[in-house]
Amino acid sequence: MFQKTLAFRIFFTISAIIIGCFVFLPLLWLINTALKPSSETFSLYFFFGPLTIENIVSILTNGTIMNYLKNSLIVSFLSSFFATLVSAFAGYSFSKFRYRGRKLVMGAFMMSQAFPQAILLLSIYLMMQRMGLLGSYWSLLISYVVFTLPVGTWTLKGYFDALPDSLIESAKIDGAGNLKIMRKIIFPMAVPGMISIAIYGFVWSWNDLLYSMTLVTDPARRTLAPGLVMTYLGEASTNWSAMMSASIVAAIPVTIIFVFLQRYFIAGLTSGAVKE
Amino acid sequence: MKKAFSLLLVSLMAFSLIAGGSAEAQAEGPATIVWAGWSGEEEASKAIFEEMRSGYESESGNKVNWVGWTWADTAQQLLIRLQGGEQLDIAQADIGIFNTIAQTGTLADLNEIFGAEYLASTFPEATLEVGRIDGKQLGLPWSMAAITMVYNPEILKRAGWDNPPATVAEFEECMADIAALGEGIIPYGVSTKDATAAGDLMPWLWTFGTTIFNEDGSVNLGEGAVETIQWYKDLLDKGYIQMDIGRGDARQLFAQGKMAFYDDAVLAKGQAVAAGVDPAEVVNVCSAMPRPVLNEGDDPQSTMWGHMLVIFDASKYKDEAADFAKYLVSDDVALKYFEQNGMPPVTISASENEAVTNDQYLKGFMDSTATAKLDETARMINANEIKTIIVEELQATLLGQTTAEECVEALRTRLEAL
Repeated sequence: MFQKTLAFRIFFTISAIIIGCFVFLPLLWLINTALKPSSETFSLYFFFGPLTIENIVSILTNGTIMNYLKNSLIVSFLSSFFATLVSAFAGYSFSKFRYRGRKLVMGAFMMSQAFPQAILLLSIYLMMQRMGLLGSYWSLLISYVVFTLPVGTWTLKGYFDALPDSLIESAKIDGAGNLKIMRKIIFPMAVPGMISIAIYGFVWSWNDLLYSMTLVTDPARRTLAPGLVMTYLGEASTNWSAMMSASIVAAIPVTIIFVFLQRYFIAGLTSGAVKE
Repeated sequence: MKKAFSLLLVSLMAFSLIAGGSAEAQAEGPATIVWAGWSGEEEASKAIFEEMRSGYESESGNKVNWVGWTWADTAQQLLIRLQGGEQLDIAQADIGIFNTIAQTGTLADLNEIFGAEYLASTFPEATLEVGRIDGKQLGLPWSMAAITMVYNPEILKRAGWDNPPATVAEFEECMADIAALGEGIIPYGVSTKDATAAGDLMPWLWTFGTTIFNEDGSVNLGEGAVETIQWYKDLLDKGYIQMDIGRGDARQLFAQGKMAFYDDAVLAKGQAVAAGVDPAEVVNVCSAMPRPVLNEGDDPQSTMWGHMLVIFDASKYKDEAADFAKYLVSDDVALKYFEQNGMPPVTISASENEAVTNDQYLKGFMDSTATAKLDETARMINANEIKTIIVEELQATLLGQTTAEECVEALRTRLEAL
């Protein structure tokens, strides 16, 4: 009833505008700055003034930036794949098997989220160094999988919890082993959840600056976030227009992935929200 | 199942070729030195750094591997590498991060490597002093000058000023004239946010006759402190300075002709050139000046700025690193660095070179260097914490939440509690 009142509509509209301003204005400002000539970076106009696509073209034709982009795509896709795979196995194990220490490990997974990732940097750096992985993509991959794992495992566990045990038991009666059950029955039914974790893992690794800057110092293997910061953020000057243009280019892959997979992402996040 | 497993294995192997193959083993040569810093990553100095590296390699036969990060991240990344025991032989160190690195106890005493005689005969004592801690020469001067005030002569001319103001009273008059132009120009871009706000405040405190700390490290904040903070507040109320201005913002606004004065080092030129100013014409729109003094005859105040080279004690290649450092400060290389990037050389011989002494842009900075002092927190391990406190209390007053007296009292209480 309340939803139909004029007061609610006014409240809803104002709230939507305020939230929309917080969400979209920074993005619009980013695009606005990217389209301004460098000399106008600090001019206070919003799209109604001199605009140019020169900055974006220069980013797209910059071989070094494109190499950073390629590296980011490799690392993000692979870390997303491995994180989803490991999370799915771990989540299935927590959900469908009962063994000693299960709750402890589940708690440890959850607790690991409580530590700021920056604090773990030094220990991860030392581990990668001892394993001889510093400077390689593996160092980033392992780190990103580790950071995605707690959320991934818990999310997928919730997903698997919703699947009836009778389904698994029936498959077992038909002679299917655990791996076959997972591959043929469980994973196909958990696709939305797995996609949501894949997107989460992808975005996490795509946006990471600290670990990629620390673990990989060779410019040939550098990923996009540190590449952009190092290229455009200098001691003496910051090329904001180029930085914003590069940020738009950097956001394109994530946006495309999200647009195409958003229904799975939302379905994955909301699964199990309503108990039937 | 087999098919899926094979697919997974193939994917892993394929990735191993990319990632594993890229896990480059560290070169084992006896003279492969690792040089770390930030300037070699920046567009403006990437080329000259590559030239320095390759020039030394072909001259010496040694190899130099560059490892770089952003300027802001270099201290943290160096510390991580040091903790990890990764090879580090020589690094570029800004005055601001030098103490942090030195406190780790990992730097070599350059007196032992170069010999005190070489250092004394090559560098002015004032620059050596910047890199000296407890009698040990831990930093080799590479490029130094003062952070002083920079002004736009064209704007001042339009406001009726042929010369920059020499006293605080004149400075205020000049700012009033600039504001009266009605062109939307910010008269003075003193930093009012981030750590640069604390850095900019210090020389003004010195100008008003006080310091934050006494020489023994106890808190001073004498009478001039309230006067300085109140002066800042007055400037803000009159619209001569603005909130939310950091060094980077000031550089950009100044380079675009939207600001008349601000505080900066020689790097100011780079931003002006990036904004389209002909390098030869920079002095017409960006000139250094002595900071206005409170009373005629006072020394103009400024803080020391610069880059040093440090050599790590654990390095297996200290001699090669020292050899490389000597190459970097040699006249030919230092003058080329100066010509291409405007970085002032520090050796006695290079700084006497005509190209340096005749450079009008640099002259203003070098004149101020004579009376420049180290940032008061430069030798303190909790410099960042101190600067944060200073900025928080300064901002509270500028925002009208506290008075100048309350600001100084709060500063005293918080700094004494550290």
